[in-house]
Amino acid sequence: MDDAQTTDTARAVVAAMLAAAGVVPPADEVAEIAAALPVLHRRMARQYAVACGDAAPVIVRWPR
Amino acid sequence: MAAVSAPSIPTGPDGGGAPDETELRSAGVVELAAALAAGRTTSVALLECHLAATDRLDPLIGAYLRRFDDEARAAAERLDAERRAGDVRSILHGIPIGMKDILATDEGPTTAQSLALDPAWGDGGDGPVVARLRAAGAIICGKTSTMEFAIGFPDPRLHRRDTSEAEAHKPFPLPRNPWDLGCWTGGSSSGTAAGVAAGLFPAGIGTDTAGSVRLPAGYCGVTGHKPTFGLVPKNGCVPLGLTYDHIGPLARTARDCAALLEVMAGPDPGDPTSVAGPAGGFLDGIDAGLAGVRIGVARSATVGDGTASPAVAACFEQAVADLRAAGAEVVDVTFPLWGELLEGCFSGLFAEAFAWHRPMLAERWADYGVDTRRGIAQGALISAADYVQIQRVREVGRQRIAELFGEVDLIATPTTGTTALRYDSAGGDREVRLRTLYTPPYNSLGLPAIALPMGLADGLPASLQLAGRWFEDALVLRAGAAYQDATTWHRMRPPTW
Repeated sequence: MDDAQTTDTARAVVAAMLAAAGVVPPADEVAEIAAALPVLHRRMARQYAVACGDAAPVIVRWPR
Repeated sequence: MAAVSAPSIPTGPDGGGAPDETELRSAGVVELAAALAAGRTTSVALLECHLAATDRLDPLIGAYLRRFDDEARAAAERLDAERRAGDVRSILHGIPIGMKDILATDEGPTTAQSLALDPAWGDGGDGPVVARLRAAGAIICGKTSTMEFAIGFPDPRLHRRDTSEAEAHKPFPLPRNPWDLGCWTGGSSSGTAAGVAAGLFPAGIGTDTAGSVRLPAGYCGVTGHKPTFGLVPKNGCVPLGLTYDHIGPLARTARDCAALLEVMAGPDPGDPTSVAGPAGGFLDGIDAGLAGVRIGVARSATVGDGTASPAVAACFEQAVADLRAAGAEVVDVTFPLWGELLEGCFSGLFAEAFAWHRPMLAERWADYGVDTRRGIAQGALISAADYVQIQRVREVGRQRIAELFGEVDLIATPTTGTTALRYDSAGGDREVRLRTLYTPPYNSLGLPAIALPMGLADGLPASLQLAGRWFEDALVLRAGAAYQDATTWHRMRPPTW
């Protein structure tokens, strides 16, 4: 997704995800939340790169 | 009471009489305990001078959400009577402290600085940390300001910016930094840090999910310690990130933090993540210094990647030189997966926060502050698969950091790359700003870390962060004490005093 734009589809998906959890913000706030998606995707790409790498553990201990 | 050195007992202008108000408000917990033990002051006198300062200064800095003056005065009188009868509970006997308003106390409701939280939350009274501190003789002076649910940025709709009639209807004070009232304190343990810095109480309690003890400690020029995950039980505290939250002390010195942690640490059946770590002893070896201690300086992700201001970087280099001069062996290290552990902390804690807030967001969206609700709602966008991958990265990080701790005993970075934000600045790009925070990787890993004043950068406090191995809080605190024995930055007083 392009950082400069959050598509109508992305906003609709975010609204649906929130609604599935029972949370229904006003449309302008859904747009604000959806605008965070590109950052989230970038962050998660880095997490997946490590988690799916050779060093990744097979078993995850619950953090203590 | 554990035997500890008292760097300087307040002795008053005549060298041996009762300390004056400035001395009492400047002193740390250990120094005040010595003054109380020597009969140079009383809990009542100590409390009253802090309450008088609060009357004068709190309208400016907004450290308190609610004061417990009557209960505190009654406790001080009771504790003085006990002392006269020869019964001293602990080093905290008669010491006033502030309590972040996400920890439940017997005196009154917990708000988490939000209109959304059910007022009945916390009706059960003191959680284990508060109960332990109270039983040890600490006086709970009141509930201190925070960010809403320990996460949101101050919301203009909810926070009083001044004492005008136009602002009077707003429910919460705007926390202001005693070093510059135009600046934020940092958060989320905002009021506790501001209150210690301005001499409203000598110590207090905060919580830290991504840096919320260490960041306001750093921005306000005080000392703050995030313990090892699990060392301090968290029940009785409004949760944010269930596997990232820590309760920790803020005070003038590392010794003071050790005195508080001595009481706070230990498992509680109400928090299944709490574990039996070292049974106290945080003060016992605190004077051992830095000889034989190997400190790894992690520059590449902090001062070395351009996220620190030149002034903060200069303070940090001086701090590293001071640590070396104090006897530590200093080597350069690379912190493994710094960026991933930093970003993973924010993504993971938002997912965990959404898990807890979901029913309230569904019912009371409009009652939340804008920044809080939009932030927590992002947690709904983290899938279960994403969340699992974040945990796997934490596991890799734990393995890699354990290897690094085979080479060094402690890791040094600044606490943050900048000084306190001005309220009238936009703050810049949020993602860029987050990368100036050098605290979240330690929440991802659960390692103990302390923030220590390390100078003034462009007139505002800069902060040194030292982190250690799991459950080696004693070494982290000892190193902090040695650094503070070699420097005087923790003695700085802000202009608002």
